[in-house]
Amino acid sequence: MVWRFVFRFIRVRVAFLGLFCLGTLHAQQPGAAIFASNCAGCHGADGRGGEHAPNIATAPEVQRLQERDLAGILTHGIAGAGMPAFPSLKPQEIADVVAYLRVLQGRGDVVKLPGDPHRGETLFFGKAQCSKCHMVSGRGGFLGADLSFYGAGGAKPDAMRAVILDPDKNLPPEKKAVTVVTLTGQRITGLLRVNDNFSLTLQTPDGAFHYFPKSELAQADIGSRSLMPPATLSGKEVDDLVSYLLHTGDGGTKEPAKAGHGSPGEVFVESH
Amino acid sequence: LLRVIERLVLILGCACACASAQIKDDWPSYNGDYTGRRFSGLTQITPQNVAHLQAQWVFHTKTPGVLEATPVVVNGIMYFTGSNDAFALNAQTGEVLWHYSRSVSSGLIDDASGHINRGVALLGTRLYMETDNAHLLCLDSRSGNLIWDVAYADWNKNYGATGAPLILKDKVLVATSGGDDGVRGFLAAFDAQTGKLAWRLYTIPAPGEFGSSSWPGDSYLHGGGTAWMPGTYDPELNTLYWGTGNASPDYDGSVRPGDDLYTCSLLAIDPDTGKLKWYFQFTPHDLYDYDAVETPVLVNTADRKLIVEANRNGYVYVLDRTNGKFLSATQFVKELNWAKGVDVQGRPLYTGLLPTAEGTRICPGVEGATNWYSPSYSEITHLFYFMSLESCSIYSRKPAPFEETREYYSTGTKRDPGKKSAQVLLAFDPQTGTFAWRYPQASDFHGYGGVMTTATGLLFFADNQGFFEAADAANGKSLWHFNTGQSLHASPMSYAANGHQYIAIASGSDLFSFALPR
Repeated sequence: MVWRFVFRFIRVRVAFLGLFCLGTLHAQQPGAAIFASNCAGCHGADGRGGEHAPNIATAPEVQRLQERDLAGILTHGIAGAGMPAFPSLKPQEIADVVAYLRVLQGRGDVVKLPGDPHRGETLFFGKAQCSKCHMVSGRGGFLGADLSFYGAGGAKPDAMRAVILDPDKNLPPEKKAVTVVTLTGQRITGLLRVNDNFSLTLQTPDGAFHYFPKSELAQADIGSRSLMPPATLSGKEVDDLVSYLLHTGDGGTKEPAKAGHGSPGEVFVESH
Repeated sequence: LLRVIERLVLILGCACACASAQIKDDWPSYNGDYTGRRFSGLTQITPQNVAHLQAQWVFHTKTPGVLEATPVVVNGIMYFTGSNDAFALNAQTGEVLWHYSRSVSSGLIDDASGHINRGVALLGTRLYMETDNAHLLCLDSRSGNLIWDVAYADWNKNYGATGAPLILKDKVLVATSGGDDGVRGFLAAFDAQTGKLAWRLYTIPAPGEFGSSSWPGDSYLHGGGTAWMPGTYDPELNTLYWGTGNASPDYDGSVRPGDDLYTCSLLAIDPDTGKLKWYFQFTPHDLYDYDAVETPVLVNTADRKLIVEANRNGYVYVLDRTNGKFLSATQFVKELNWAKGVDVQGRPLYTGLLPTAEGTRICPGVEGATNWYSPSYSEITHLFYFMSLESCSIYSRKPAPFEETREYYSTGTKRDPGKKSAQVLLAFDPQTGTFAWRYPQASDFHGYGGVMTTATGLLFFADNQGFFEAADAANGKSLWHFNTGQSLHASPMSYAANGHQYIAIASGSDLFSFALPR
């Protein structure tokens, strides 16, 4: 059918725009100046973390906060975490700076949805076996990343496709398997959960955590191989899967992503 | 010979206790087990070596509010909460394995606005916690991924939650805070798999129900009686024991005539149906904020199944837990002026002191003669331990209507300027109704730290000067102390990881874990 081959435009939350793009595309945002003078000093001009404060642009725990939560943090600060309150900001200014943070988080931008997200969902929980390790909205496994907010996290279709087809090559090392060999010859492969100067902690696919003092390790191979198998899917199926993942994170954990404003085939995510 | 027999009895007693399901390496729930005894079967740390105890690690949560949670440990993994955040830690190192983060809620009032959380419940690979705005979260315990989120008290803005859920069979039990703010208390059970409501037991009867004569009009919707701390459970009797808080409004009793059932009570509940089996009301028509949520501890004697509860109202109660029959009430603070004692049914004989417009001095004061922080019962010494507080407050009353987003005390309390508060760690013998020893605390600060005991005859407790202490449970002699540098508002626990026994407690915004040197 023709519509299958028509790229549909959707607006999803994408946060991979470079600082240059942000500067040119979003300088008009009223919150930009407030962010620059109040937030950027600690969180960085791109919100991705600085000398004094963490990443608030692509960190999932910040992305999943609702507008009123973010406004509350600005108003009250976070006692004990070094985040001050900004009582001088007026309600409209707070709304503006929260809206600008959403821009830094990549929301309100338009990307092409290459396939059918509903078929992608069926693949995710079925034939493609993604849900054996990955969770979306409370369904699925635990070893891989929770993808409930993946679409909100600045994922780029080409990069997603590359990871799905060749994870060994395209996943960052910290998301790949770690294999350790102990001094007694025990060999264990899992995902890295802690790596300090003195110890490593791996999580194996059965969910167990394994703690190793480094003094007891003969060898540690970090991130050369992926636990995620390369997909054996058609190009069309990969597009569907990518479309589903771009969809995730639009409506909070309880609601599936759904079409909103605009014509059929478009998903609009408000940038508030 | 008597001593030999005593020793034999002690050893046999220990053997019996050990044969029953004693908690050892794991500490799987808020109180460790269903008995509420906070008694650990671990034996590595003893009165002889406890002086060598050292801090192994400190974990800083970076969450708002003072930590009041007890960590839960299963298979060397510690699960802990600070406000709405949950953490899985390597119990040997305190390093974070995963972190579930959710910002604190705005618009809350009173206790909930302090974002207090008392920890998690675990069932298989699922972890449950309450949020400050009374949501029950189900997380995957291996990753911290959110599985589901159920708002369980969202029809009155004054609800919040500060407790820890309790797992019972296939259900997870939760309750709320807001008892000073005009909510209607309840205990709710949810299907642990699906998050579907199984039952809800309101602690304030609706019109037409038994006890409803105290609640004219729609006052039952604002009667308080919140069940804000985890209860205990006897599997043989299949009975759940759960305490309820004060009536609301706190200091104006004119709008709630009579006993105000089921506030300030212990409820015995069928956990399968949520039906009330019996109740015992410690403080009928409470006007002093004497919540009865202190842990109802299950104690067995040769011929009786008891419940022991040290109550905020200044009496420690012993009840028969098969039927709720009152057995004894022993006054444990020196100054107690709201009652002259109790009658044969355990009902207080009131002196008639009431909060007034000009203020009335009443003892114990509003902080309670004890409070939610844990007591402990030792299966070695057969003594019941808890921290007590000598204090008085000036109670004032001014009627006011209920309003959402407003507290509902109908005025308040202030400190009695003429009385220095004083805390005393007490060892109570439930068999004789006497105190085996008393350990007065030097400072007049007011601590909120709990007590635990171990199978080697040790007692750990948080004192009111920021110190975590170990004492000999037999005589109260202090054997070890560590300055945490912060106020302790939490109760201790013990676990083992990789063959080593640890003792952990939250203090201020940090969690500390101690063990013997290797």
